[in-house]
Amino acid sequence: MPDSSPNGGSNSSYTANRTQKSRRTYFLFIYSYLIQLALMWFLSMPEKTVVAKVGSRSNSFKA
Amino acid sequence: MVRIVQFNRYVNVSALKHYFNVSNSYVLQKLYIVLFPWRHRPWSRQQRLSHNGQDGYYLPPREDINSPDMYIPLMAFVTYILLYTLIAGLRGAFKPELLGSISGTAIITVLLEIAGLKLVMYLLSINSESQLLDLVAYSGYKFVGVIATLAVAEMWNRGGGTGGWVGWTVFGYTFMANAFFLVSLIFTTRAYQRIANLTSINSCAPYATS
Repeated sequence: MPDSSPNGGSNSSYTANRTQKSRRTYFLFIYSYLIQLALMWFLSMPEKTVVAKVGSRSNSFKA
Repeated sequence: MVRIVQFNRYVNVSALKHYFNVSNSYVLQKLYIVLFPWRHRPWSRQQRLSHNGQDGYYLPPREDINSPDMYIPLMAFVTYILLYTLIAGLRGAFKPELLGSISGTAIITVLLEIAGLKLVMYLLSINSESQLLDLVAYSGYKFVGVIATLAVAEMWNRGGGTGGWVGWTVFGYTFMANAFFLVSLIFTTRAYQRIANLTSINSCAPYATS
């Protein structure tokens, strides 16, 4: 998070930047792996559910 | 004419042109990199300095294979919708409403992803000027892997769905390839941004109007 100290001495700002960088790196890997895994699974897997629902609706309509 | 001006107010059309400045060879090479990113090098985007030597800009996709584009994500998005409905049709479960529901689901997925990304970037104080279109482009590349998963799994399972060991294997591979692709691209771009900040390099200066 941004350093809100008024002076922001060189050591504290350097520490904040390193913390920020590590958070950004963690976020990059979380986004690339976990979030993309969930999204790709959602887009590719549940077609059975969608097709099954559409199929059941069409059958009920015919009946 | 009024509608064009109003549209230009919300969308930078000249910046969009940068992302659709592609060639046949770029599309083929990019698809190969998205599906097989393991040995691709280098990942850094190329830049060119302007005539005054002060400002610079990223090369368009036609001239730089590492430049993100929107042609492939858009085409993959449309192909995904058509493939999904084709599979439903082959199972005898096609209905016209399926086109709308699938496209709506995919659009909402992308929009939520972008919104979440922007929120996290704001919380982490990541400078996001002129990167929104890059994020949309990166977000769209996943459809290539999803299409590969659906196509291969459906052909192998003879319309039995994307389950089974083949479906999961293809899904796992395309997911890992997509993740590796994103990490390599974004990490290299971030590293380059530190250098670019010194020379104020823009993402698409020749196409942006001042």
